[in-house]
Amino acid sequence: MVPSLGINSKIEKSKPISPLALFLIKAGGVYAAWQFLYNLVFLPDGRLDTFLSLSGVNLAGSLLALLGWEVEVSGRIITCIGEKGVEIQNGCNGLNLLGLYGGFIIAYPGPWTKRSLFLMIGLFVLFIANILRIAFFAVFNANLPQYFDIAHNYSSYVFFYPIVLLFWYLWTVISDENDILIPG
Amino acid sequence: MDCYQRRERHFNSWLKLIFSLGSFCLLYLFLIRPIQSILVADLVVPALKSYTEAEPDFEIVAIQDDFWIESHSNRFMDLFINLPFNGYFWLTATILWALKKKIILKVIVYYNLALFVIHPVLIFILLNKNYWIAPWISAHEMVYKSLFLSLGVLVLKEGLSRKNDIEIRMR
Repeated sequence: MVPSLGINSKIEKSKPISPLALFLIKAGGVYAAWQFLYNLVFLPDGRLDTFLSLSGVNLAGSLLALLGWEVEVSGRIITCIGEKGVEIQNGCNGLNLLGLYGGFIIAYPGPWTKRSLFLMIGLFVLFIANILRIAFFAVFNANLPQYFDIAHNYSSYVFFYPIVLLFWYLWTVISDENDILIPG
Repeated sequence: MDCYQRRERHFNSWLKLIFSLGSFCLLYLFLIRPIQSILVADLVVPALKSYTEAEPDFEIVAIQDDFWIESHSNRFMDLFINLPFNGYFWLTATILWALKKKIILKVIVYYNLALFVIHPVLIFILLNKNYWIAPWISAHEMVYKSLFLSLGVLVLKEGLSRKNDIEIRMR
């Protein structure tokens, strides 16, 4: 015998996914995809890493020369003449931070034209920050080589993370979207 | 609540947040991170090295508060793993605590506790020559850390802009 539905039976409606859950799923997907792409394609290939390292070193060299420093650039190595040089390896070129920045901007809701523009501006600012960081390393190593490890260890907290977090925050404001933690 | 009280409350929220973030920076950089670096260098890496003694393909090195696993035969590259309750947790937890988002704070604490199981399992699978898992470990590291930071920024934006600090209702 099939039980009949009474008048007071509650019919469960399928609830739409919350904006926060949707954001977390999208962001998780973007970050995972980026990391797989990086580990399986970009890292073994090495060209993108090499490009970022070499261009960073060259531009940092030009910047320091412009500011009156005597520097020598040779491949990945930047040296203030007469002092110890600094080698920019692939893990040190900020590529992972670019992925970290991009994932949030892509996943957080907002109009795509604004998003693309904001993404490009942020990536460019991070690239510039990396150039400043490399220039800082070269000058720091020339003057205080005994403290270089400390400067290297903590440099991301000064040059990268504040920019990433600030740009994320700005995007949540600029995107003109409703709050996603507590919608409405 | 009148306009003056609202403004005062808003100002107090910012003040508490700035004080909390300042305390976080000092505690993390001068206490938590050095302790984690010591734990990685003196406890985790030696344990992993002794486990892989018979397997020369793996190189395991402590790099600050990360440990780095590399395959000499290039089966995978540059695998960095952090201990649970690392800087990404503490930064987010500080923001959540300052803005009283207790439910999300609980979620990230539980996830970090779960990492005490997740990490050893994943590393055990990898060190038993299941190289396919290396990109998954790397992706997991990236995803959970990024999501923690993202949650921190969302709470920061929405917590400070709200007049009434209502706790989140998770669906």
